[in-house]
Amino acid sequence: MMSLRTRLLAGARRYQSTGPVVQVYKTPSISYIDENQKIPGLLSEKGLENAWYKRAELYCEGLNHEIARSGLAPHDIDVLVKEYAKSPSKLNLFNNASLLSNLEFAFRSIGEVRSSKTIDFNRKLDESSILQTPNLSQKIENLPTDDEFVKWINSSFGSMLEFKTLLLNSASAINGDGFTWVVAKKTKSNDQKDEYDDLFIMNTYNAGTPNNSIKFGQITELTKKLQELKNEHDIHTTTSSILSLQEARESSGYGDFELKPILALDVSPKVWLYDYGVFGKNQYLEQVWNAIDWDIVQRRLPTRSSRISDALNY
Amino acid sequence: MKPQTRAVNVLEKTSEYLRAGLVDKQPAWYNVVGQTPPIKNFIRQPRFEHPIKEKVVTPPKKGDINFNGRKTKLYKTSHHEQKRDVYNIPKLKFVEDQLRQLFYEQHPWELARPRILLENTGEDIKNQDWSSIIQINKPLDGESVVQRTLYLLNNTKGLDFKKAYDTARHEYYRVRIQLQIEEQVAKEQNEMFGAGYDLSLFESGVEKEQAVIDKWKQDAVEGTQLMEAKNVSPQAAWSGESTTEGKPTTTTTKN
Repeated sequence: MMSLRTRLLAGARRYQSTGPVVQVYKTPSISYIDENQKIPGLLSEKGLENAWYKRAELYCEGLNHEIARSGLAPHDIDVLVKEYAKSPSKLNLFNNASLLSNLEFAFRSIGEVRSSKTIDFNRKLDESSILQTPNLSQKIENLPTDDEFVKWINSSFGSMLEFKTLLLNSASAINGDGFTWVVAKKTKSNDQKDEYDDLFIMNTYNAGTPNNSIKFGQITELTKKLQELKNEHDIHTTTSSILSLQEARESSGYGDFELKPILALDVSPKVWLYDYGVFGKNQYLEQVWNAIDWDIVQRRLPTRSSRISDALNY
Repeated sequence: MKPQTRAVNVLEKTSEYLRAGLVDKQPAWYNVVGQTPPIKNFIRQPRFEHPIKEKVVTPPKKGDINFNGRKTKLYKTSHHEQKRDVYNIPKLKFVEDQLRQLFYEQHPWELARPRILLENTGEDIKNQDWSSIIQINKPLDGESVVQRTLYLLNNTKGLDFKKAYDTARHEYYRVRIQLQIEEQVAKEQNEMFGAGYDLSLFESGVEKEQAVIDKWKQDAVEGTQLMEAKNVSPQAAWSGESTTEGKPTTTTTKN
């Protein structure tokens, strides 16, 4: 799927005030979306255009522009994300590449809505919906089919209900643009294969990337620099050996480990605002859950650590 | 106890002073207190109506059968005779209190959350609609569960107490989970966008403590040096010998 984009497409040259821009990157084609031109039950035609086509086009355009401006050779998007994550001068390039990659990943995770529940896009929820009492029903539609995957979820999150609650609540809590990911954490890499132990849910905001090895250390480095600057001005005699909460969280939460994304939910208002209205975010998230294509997600699953799967199987 | 009559007689006393010319001008409160004079009879009048049972209790008459099966003797006071219901202040019992106690017994850490105990008007409950556990003018806490349980009991047919409480409790859990995740995500998101947080209560406590320890250490070092300098005999000081080199045992054990 990546090789398509990496090919230097014989794109038409377009002339802008800044100079010629070669159309290297184009809106990725997702067969399911392109056939239907909408996602039945989840997004209307106009909604899909806002959520996918317009945005993908915008990011591609930005990417082409930045490539032309900086005179870089066009690479695979994941390479761009990895290369320029820590380069302040390539911020725009990184942002566009990261957003495009995230967006494509999210839209490749969903398919048609597998639920009896239909939503009338003409009738949007009003403000009274934020005061609605929570629904206590424990029935979950559109469950994953693979037994191994279900076992993995149960051992990582406790149960399917807990998994769904955490996933949808994390997504719902994001203010503005962002993605919620289900990721697998790598334990060790042998010569033969990589092994992964637990599944986690994480959020990325704006153009953030789920690739932990890229972003690890960014905040720590900043804090260190800040501390150095501070120490130049006033000399602190206080030397506490106890880790601050920030440092502890840094070392345990954002440790130097690799994460492999297997599912992404796009919670940007650009996706749900048109079809679901201002108060419809949670309604959209419920529908997205029903639209997750578990077959695709299960195909992305990495090898589970044999140690853990053996322990569960006795 | 002797009733304190001085304070309640302030109006009469001031009137006398005015008449006698001891006070020239009427105090500002004079007319107000004159209109609503303070109560002077401090003897409690029994109410012959039970405030909770709303049953009229007739005052006992001579010869009535008491609740413990004995005849009442109004003409004779007995040490052994128990006090009547009429003269006791009845204990107020509310089902809300039982619910509150149950909830906070099961969720003791909910008491650790900060709460607002004062209201501007005391009428916040009038603007609350307990058809949902989420309220605009009230943060979620144990009281939400109590009020929601009562609402469910009063508005659902065939719902027993336990079922109503469990429903309210589970709704509460759902909202609490959502709020907790929202809080975490908001903090993380702000950090990603460059927010810096001040030290936590514990961290600032440790810093404060450390500052005191540092100062103490400095003072201690200085104090020790001073003490050692004092203990040096004048000859040794003039000849340039220090106590630590000369005779350490005698000098250090002195103080």
